[in-house]
Amino acid sequence: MTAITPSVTLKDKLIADFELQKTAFFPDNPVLSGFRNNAAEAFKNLGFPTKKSEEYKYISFDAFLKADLSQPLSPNTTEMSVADDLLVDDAHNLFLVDGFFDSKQNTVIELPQGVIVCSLAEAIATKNVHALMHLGMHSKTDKDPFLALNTALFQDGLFIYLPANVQLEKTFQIVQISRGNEPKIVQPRILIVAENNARANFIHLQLSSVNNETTLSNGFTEIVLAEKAEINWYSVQEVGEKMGVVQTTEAYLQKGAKFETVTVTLAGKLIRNNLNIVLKGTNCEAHLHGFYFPKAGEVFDNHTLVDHSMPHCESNELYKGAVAGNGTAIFNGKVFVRQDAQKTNAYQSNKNILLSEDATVNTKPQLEIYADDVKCSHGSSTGFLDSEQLFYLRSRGISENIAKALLLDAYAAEVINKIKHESLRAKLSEIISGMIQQIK
Amino acid sequence: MLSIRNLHARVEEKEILNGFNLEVKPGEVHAIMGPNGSGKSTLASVLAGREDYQVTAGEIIFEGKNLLELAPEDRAREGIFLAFQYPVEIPGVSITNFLKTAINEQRSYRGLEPMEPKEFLQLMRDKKAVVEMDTNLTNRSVNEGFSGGEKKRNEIFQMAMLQPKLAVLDETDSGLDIDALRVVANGVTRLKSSENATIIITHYQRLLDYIVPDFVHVLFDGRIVKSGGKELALELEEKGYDWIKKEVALS
Repeated sequence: MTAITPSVTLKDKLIADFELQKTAFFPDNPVLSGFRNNAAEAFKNLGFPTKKSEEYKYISFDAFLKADLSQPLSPNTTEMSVADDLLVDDAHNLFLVDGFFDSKQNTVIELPQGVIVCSLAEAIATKNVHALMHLGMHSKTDKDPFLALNTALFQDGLFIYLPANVQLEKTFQIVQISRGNEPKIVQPRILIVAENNARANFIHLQLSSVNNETTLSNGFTEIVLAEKAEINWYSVQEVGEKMGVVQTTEAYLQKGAKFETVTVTLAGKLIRNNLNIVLKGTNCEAHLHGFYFPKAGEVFDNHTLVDHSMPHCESNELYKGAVAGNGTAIFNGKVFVRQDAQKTNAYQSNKNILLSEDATVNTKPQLEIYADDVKCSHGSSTGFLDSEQLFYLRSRGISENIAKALLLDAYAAEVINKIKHESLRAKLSEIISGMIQQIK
Repeated sequence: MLSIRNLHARVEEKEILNGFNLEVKPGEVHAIMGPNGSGKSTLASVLAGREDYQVTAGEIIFEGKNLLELAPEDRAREGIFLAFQYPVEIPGVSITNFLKTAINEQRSYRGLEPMEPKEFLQLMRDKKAVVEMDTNLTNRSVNEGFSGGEKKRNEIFQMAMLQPKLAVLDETDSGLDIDALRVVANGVTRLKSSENATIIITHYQRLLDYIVPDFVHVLFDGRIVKSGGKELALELEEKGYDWIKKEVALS
């Protein structure tokens, strides 16, 4: 079979898309069109990453660049079956289909006064002051091609505003979904603004229809936490075998804010997460946890960054992976402790278990410390399942496969148990157990 | 029940068992004593099926089956239990889940349905009493953060739950204070019957004050050099192992 290389590259096509749309997309907002123009310019210069790009050197986007992808101008609304065994019942549901806010499927009821949940396009069109004050204002779009691309080309997305002191009991479940049979690239965008002392919990599910065509989802989520705001953000990725995901999530924390996140990556052809947490005030707390489980043919890449620029902050990071078949896992965790960030506590740990001789792990913990009065540590380990533990279990009559499953369940649980939403935790445990038992 | 004939075993090119013979019948308690490096723990490991150990000659027949052909889990399902000298910690796997899985895997091997949850909980309660085990301990992960005594007690608890035909206790007395020793020994004694057998592997005589053996064997350089009744253990306690070494050297 000969690969058909499109005569026009995806990059050219997307730049042409941008030229066509730029006058149509909120021309009366000079700030917005200004930063979109800059982003488009940055993408033009950067292009899609190649193996030579330091930040993307272990992954290849070739399969997506050759697939003649197009960016849809409206969501695919055809009914298609979606693997929805992950959806929890007790939540406000918010659907983003191909990056477009789908008001028909949403089930948001009884929100406290002042809370805004709406389409991002609508927030921009109605000149929502909170949305315009923060959208794209904290991120550096000129360094990363995917961030630049999303900023230049997003059509819609989700905007949530939490006024000061509001505390939401019920979790927001954001279902970021891609479906349809046409090869495409989508640019989901989410902006969450939590004012002083606001508190809320989010589940961010990334799913796809069961047999979707080659799709690249280039998502960008910005989470703004004002003083003492607290956000729990649980992200789960389980997409089709032809789908690629680049998901950038950035959280900006002001004084005393607290951000906890768990990222669980379960299925997809190529999944790259960029999680950037910027501690901009004193006494902030960030907890980052991840579990990834690439199996045959899957490549999962987690890049995290915690930027300590102010004193008396704490960050804890634990990422664990299990790699089966010829799967590949990449972990790159940067922690910066800048000169003014005295009395910082920063801990990072990455652990990997190889379940086959063909599995690949690339791990690079990086701690850069410029302050002198800090407590920091990092560590990383990669190995096979503990043979002493396996033998102990087998010596009690437990078969090798079940013994491995018991050990892996326990291994994953250390991360999964960080999730405070009970039914999500239970669903994940069950799905992960099922996946473990299917491995030969 | 168990018949070990002319067993030779090595680990990493080093010959450790060197013509070992032993016959065990139901209802019997055998003590295998010997100085450090005589091959005691190798024997336990070979019986349980640890993969680092290579059997180069001889055979082990257990209840008519060639044990050496069986995977470790199948040996357990046939009724062999090893109480580990150094039980491993398994964080995240609760004792309850571990034992439920083990019991049901063994039952399935014997063609039995999984145990009813109610029956399982009752069994847990009964057997915890046998080893005077703290209820809170079984809610915890297997051996995680356990003291030396708690780990050994947990081994005997598992033995009580799994009800093996042949129990092999590998240095179960090491690292135990006198109270823990008494509890562990009482547990073993209460589990004894005319149907099952016990092999106690130990360096010291003191465990044998509590569990009275029918036979005492002295292991030296990978084979049994002397066998006798329980009085042999006392003689070893009194004289040490040197006189055995001299006897062997003379013969």
